[in-house]
Amino acid sequence: MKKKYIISLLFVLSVFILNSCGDSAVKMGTAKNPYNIIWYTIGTSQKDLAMVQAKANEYLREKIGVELDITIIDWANYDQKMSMITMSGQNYDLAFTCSWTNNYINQANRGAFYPLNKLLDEYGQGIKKVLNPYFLSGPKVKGELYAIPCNKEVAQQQVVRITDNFMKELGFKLSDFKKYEGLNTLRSLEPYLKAVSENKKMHNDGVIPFSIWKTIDYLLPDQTYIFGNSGLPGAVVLRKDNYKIVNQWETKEFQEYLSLYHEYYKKGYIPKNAALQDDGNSITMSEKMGCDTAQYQPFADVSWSLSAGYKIVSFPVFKPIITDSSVTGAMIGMSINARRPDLNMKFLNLLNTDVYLRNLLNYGIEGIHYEKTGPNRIKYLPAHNNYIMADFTLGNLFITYLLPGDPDDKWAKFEKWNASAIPSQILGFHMNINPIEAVLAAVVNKTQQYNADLMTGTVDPKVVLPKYMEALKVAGVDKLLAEMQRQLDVWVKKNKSK
Amino acid sequence: MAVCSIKCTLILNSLLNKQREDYYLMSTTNSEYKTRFRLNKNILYMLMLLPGVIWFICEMYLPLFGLILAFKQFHFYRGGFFYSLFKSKWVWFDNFTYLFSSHEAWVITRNTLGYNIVFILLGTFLSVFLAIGFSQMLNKKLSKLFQTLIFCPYFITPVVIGYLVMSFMSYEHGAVNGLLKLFNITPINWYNEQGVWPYILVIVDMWWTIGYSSIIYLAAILGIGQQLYEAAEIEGASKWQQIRFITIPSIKPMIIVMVLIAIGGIFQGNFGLFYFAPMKSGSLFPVTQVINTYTFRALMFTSNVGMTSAACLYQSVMGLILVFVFNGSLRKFDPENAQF
Amino acid sequence: MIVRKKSKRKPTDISRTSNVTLSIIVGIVAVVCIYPIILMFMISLSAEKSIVMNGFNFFPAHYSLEAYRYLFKIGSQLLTSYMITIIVTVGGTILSVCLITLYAYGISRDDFKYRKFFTFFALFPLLFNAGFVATYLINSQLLGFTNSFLGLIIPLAISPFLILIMRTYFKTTIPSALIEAARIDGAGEFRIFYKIVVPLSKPGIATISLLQAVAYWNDWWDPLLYIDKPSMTPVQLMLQKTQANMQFIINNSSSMSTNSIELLKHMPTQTAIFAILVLATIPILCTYPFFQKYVVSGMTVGGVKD
Repeated sequence: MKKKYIISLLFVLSVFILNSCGDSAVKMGTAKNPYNIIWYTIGTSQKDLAMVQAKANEYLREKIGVELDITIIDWANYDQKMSMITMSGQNYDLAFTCSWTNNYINQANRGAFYPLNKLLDEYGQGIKKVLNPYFLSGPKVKGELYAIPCNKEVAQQQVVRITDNFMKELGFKLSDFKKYEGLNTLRSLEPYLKAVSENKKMHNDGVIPFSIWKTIDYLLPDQTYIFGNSGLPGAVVLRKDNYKIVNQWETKEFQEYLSLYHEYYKKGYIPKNAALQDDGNSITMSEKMGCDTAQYQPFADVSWSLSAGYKIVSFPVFKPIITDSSVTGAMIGMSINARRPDLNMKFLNLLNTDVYLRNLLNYGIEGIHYEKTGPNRIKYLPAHNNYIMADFTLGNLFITYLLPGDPDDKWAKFEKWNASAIPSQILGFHMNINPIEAVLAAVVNKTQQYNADLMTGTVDPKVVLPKYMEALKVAGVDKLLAEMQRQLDVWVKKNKSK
Repeated sequence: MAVCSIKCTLILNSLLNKQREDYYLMSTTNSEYKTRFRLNKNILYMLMLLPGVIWFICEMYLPLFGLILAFKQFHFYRGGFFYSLFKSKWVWFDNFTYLFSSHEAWVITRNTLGYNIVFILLGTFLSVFLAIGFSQMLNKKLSKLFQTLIFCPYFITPVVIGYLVMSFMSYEHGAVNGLLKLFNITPINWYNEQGVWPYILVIVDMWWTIGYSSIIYLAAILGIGQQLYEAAEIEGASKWQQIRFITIPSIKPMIIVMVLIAIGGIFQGNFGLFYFAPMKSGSLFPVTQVINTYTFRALMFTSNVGMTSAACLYQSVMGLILVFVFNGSLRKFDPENAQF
Repeated sequence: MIVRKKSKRKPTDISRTSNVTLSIIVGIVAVVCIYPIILMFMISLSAEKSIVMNGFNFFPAHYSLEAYRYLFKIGSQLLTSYMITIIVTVGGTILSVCLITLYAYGISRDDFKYRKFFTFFALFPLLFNAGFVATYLINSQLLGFTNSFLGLIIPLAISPFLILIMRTYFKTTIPSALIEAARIDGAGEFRIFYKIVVPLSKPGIATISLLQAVAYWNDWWDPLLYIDKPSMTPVQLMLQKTQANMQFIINNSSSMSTNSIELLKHMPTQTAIFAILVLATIPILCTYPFFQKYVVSGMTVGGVKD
């Protein structure tokens, strides 16, 4: 029908028009004609965002001739929405990206982000100075950096969290537990767990000895994982100059972990429906956990205790390691279609170095949302509830003000902790999944089927693990591992043969 | 849009009326006038359809270009979506391979088809039964109340259904295990028992959907003229005979349409039901995994748009084929009810 | 003399005993259907601690209004969301019903030459889904639906499923003799449609109005795609966001380098989510009697005198 042809013709025309609509952007970048930076970030929508944004724009217009247009997308929907926005080529400048949403590596490999190396050299000298060097080298994909990481803790470290009251009540001390010993640390929990489960009062109160749920992530101290978490096959043992890919589920160490958790499950330390429920937090919040595991950062104990309302102490399972997922934990990326990449980079440079701007975006307006109690310290005012942002989405944390309860040398301690971390020998290697996406899909599906049950100790690894390995083989895990090894070998040749 | 079309219809109506007068004035056997009149009627009908057609073109037919994604490996290039699409590599059927990896493909296809067939058969039977029940109940107020209550589950989102099912099947706190404990039977971890879940899922789906279907059938039943029943009563037909020979045949077209549409969706597994109701329990996959959940889980990590499009295309094509077969057989055996 | 009012028994009614049996059977089904809804309501009245300890119970160990207190705290946002949902539902349903009935009527007429083509034209998209990226692209970039009411109304405006239902309904309920009679009397097609066909089809139209109203009310997918601003967020999206956010943070708390306890502190408890659910479901449920009036009214409209 004629109508159909006319409409489709119009459509095609309009698309071309839309795509070429960027010429006016060249003239922008002055205080009189500021460039509009469209920035998508993650969090929950805040009442006072417009107010704070306006204040920031006053400053930014004069300084570098840009204006911000921030849109906050919810935690759960961010990934879906950003994937729509990126796919459809919608116009935007900056977006939050990391290993656990809007996956940085996948998007970078697909070319969704603008390459930043040259821009960093030209306009981002400030960023290069403040960021920990591992943040600059770790996330490089094929030699090019595609997003600016947030300066924070650079390593990951698993710790065991214990409710202080229960521990003291049952007569234990922190020194009773082994530290930094990986599996042995977890084994040393046994007496405590036994005491909690046998204590009548705690049992009746519904205290869960070992609050492990479906979302647990095993981190073995001597393995690093290609996909960032131990749920997907593909790991390298942390040893100097070791570049052999293994399936961690087939290693003896991992199997010992699984057996230990199964022991604990049988003895009733791990809840019976652990494999079904993601919800461990309401347990933690209501002071019903004996102990659980968590990711550590310096002074985490303080903030956990403050938030939960009772004292939580922790001790480490292993020393901090710098891995791919720990350096890509929070980053800001630039769209490949950004109209003025130079102005975007100038802004990012400012964000990471300018104390006024960074804290304005983080905490809000002085006098309204917070008040200063010292040169670097602040205290929240009641209006604070109208502007709560996720601080790790906004860049360099080390220049943000301190809160009550933070020690004076908080950031200095952070930097020291960062310095003490050991990088994995394959830091900087990122797998490009494009060649084996079909196999990966089949493998991922299998992991969804078996992981939760095995990792929470719900089923007997001696019985189920062989079945799982068999199913993985049918799904093609060997192809996956072979491709991983191939890519790793190429990377090693390029980067390590000096 | 609606206002516009109403105005148009009024204008055209008056135009047509004027033409009718002309028609009467002329000789009625003049075939030339006859054909012109018929053509105008067709144009009028098409005008009725026009707003809908525009909607279909914009929302359903134009986006069909997205199907190309199923055959390409999408990569971004500076220049927007279409430029990127144009430059992306053709991978033809590579995006489809993950759907057909031998064992997995058999399980998900078996589950999807099996469940859907049961849903269609059982669902149709139950909704027709309920619809007839609603229309026959003497106490109209009670009938209305029941209709409202049975329709309720339609509002519940799948996530909540997962929790509600869990309130029955949970090991520690579930109602079922509570009942077992009363009889001194050891409680069972239901989320590891595959055998019972097909029944649970069928019951949950029935609970969820028969309200919706039954009121459609009810509307159809209420459209049947009363005089048919009165005539049958005079002839001495029993109530049951009346239902068999008047009610059901009168709603047969509706039943066929509903079944046809359901068949078109037979390769789609109701995602909400199969993903959330078993609380995503891995050990239940062999009996709860359907095509939609498989696609979702497999692509959770890579979010490859080409592979999602491939899955969509596969399901659509299979559904289309089945609808053609069904419609074709209708044309042979029951031509009045064939849809096209 | 006292005149006793006897209940009128029509000759086509079923016997008393069958009525009782039937009512009981349907009644049991109704109770089974409503039970989970009441459960939802009871959960929203439970104390969070009671959920953690005992799971979801019909009779919670501890009652508490904390869930509704939380709702009161976010009151203004809830009110805005309600307004949006109501506007979209009412506007969308009206538009939808007009479009659907017009189209369905057209293709139900046997004297329409192209009816088979247009039936297939409407049925094809039901089966053939081109995926949502392309639809999103067209809607957001070509048609500009982002953050506008159009984005909430247009994508759902036509349901091919309901077109087919209405078409079948028209074919079986409207006797063609009636239409012929009207045509001979000199009525135009459109006049026939809205003076004769529409009043006769009240049950059908009322039914699809209800179904479309529910579809609009429950829709959170289109708002997810097209709405960024809280001031345009409908209730169902608010609910989905709130519940999914909690889930997401819990799932990823080990990867997120932040204090997830702190983040979750500002989020509602599980009971509050059920409270929002109750508030999201009850209003549309209450409109059911309104639609029912029209569904049943069609029963008494007479037919054709042969």
